[in-house]
Amino acid sequence: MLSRRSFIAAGSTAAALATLGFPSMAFAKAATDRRFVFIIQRGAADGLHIVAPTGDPAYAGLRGDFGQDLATGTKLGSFFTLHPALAETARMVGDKQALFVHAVASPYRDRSHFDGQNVLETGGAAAYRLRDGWMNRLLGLLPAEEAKGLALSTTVPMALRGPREVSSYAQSQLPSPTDDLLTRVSALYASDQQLHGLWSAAMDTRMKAGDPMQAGNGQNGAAVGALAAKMLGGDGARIAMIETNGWDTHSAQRGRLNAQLRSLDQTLAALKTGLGADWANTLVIVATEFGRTAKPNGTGGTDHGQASAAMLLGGAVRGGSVIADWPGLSTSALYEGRDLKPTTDLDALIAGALSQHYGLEPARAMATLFPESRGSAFAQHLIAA
Amino acid sequence: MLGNAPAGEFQFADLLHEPGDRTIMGKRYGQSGEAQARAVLIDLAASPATAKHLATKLARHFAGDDPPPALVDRLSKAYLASNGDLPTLYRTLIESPEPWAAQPVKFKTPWEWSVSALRAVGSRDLPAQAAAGLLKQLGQPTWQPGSPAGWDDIAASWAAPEALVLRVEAAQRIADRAGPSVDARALAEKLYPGSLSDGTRTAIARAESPAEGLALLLVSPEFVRR
Repeated sequence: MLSRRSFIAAGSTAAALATLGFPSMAFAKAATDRRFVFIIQRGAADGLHIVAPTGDPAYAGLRGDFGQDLATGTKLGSFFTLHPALAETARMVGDKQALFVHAVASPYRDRSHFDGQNVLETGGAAAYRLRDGWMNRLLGLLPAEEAKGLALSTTVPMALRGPREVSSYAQSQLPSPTDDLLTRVSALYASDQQLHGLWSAAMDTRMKAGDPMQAGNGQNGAAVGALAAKMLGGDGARIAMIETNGWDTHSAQRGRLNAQLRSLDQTLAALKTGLGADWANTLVIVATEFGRTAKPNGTGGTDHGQASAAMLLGGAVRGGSVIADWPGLSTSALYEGRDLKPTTDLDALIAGALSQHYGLEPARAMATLFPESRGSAFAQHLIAA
Repeated sequence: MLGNAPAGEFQFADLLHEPGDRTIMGKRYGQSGEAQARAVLIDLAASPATAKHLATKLARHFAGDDPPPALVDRLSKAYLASNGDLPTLYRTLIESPEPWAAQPVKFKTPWEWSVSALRAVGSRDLPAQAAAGLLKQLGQPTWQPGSPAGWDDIAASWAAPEALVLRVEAAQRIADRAGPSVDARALAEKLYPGSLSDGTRTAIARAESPAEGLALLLVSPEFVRR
């Protein structure tokens, strides 16, 4: 069974990091020079807006106004455009240290965040079938060494849970509630007279005071990236997981995703800078539990979908392109007439990338990380060295 | 001057007691020393005003900020009839219908909310410093009510705009600590069988992550009241 060591930060960097919507991290150590970071986007990130298929004939008609955001984005070949908020990431693409995989999804085909995230993190064929996470199973595949490390999340996330020792590191202060939570609480109190009154008053005050901890100014993202890099340096951890929230953009998507992506961009940039020479041996995978609808809804957002885009970044990556078996966006090509159809298996992608990164036998990696899968590890060359 | 009194026990401090007769609430007390103090206390305890005071406090705690007069009356009478026997008072309270209202009538104090939240997520222990910190942040610093009258038992003291936001912050933190093993959807049904509102159920199901769902449960209208 899992045992955890928790360290409460008393002041120092942790206090400075206790801020709004702050990404959190968990770490584990393995005897290898290679680093691996998994960044989870909780809430179903809209791959179609992050790596937009601007070259698809149906894109403009489906996405309407949303397309305006991509006007200044970096072109990825003739078909895709990267959202402009990912400016540092675009630079990495230019340096061949970042690639994207599109129309990718886990085995999960329903629309519940809880269940989808469970599948994403446990690596099972369906929710709640496996009790440990694929990142914990990964530790068993690497050269044996005692897992050691400091972490920056209050509990160990599902992907890292399991028999192998990993650590988590708690922040000492109460973090501000995320914007997303505040919005949901407003909705929760809508029909309760007493609570609605109190809550409205509180939110009015907050708005007048101006919340200094707004997500999206990039400060939070940069800080966690820098800290993760520090933890992964020298004799420290080798495997890390960063949790990000706020991706569930049912409304006001354009503004919210812009802020979200800016923060993610800062995290990635800070990781690269902080890791220094070790960046050359690093693989970062960014993934989400499922995507969003091809067509926006009536509140300037999108609803739950199927396939999304995943990112691979790092000095070890053979980057510079978008890999996709593109299904198209015509109504007949969409899954249930509404969502981007998955054509690549996320499990296969993760197993393939990790087996290449660590020099593992692909079939063994696949069977260990995703024991319920009947597919094979992604064969395409993702890792350079 | 108190001698070797064991902790927690009553000790009469003779040296501190002012000698001589005194008149309290219109009655003259001529005894001396401890006997005089006792006599005063006994009369105060037997007073109808005391009966009403205790009855009101109990009724307010269990039947709502504006306690039903019938309940207060019933409790007062029970107190006086039993010569101040508290168990009789409590029995009367339990046998009364008013405290058994189907809908929650009280806004939980920070203490009540914290305990219920931690129990709900299955927390078995909390370091003393964390507990003290949490309660202080929520506005009820342990053993520091700021007045000898103790803590207020009415919504106005606890249900304030910023206090609610602080509770949401604490809920997020407790939810984060609970980890992925607590499923808020199942927990909500378990805590409120047959009485979980659709609004709360939907909000939890649609939450962006399991931790967010749990935080929403802990600040739901059902959970912030008792």
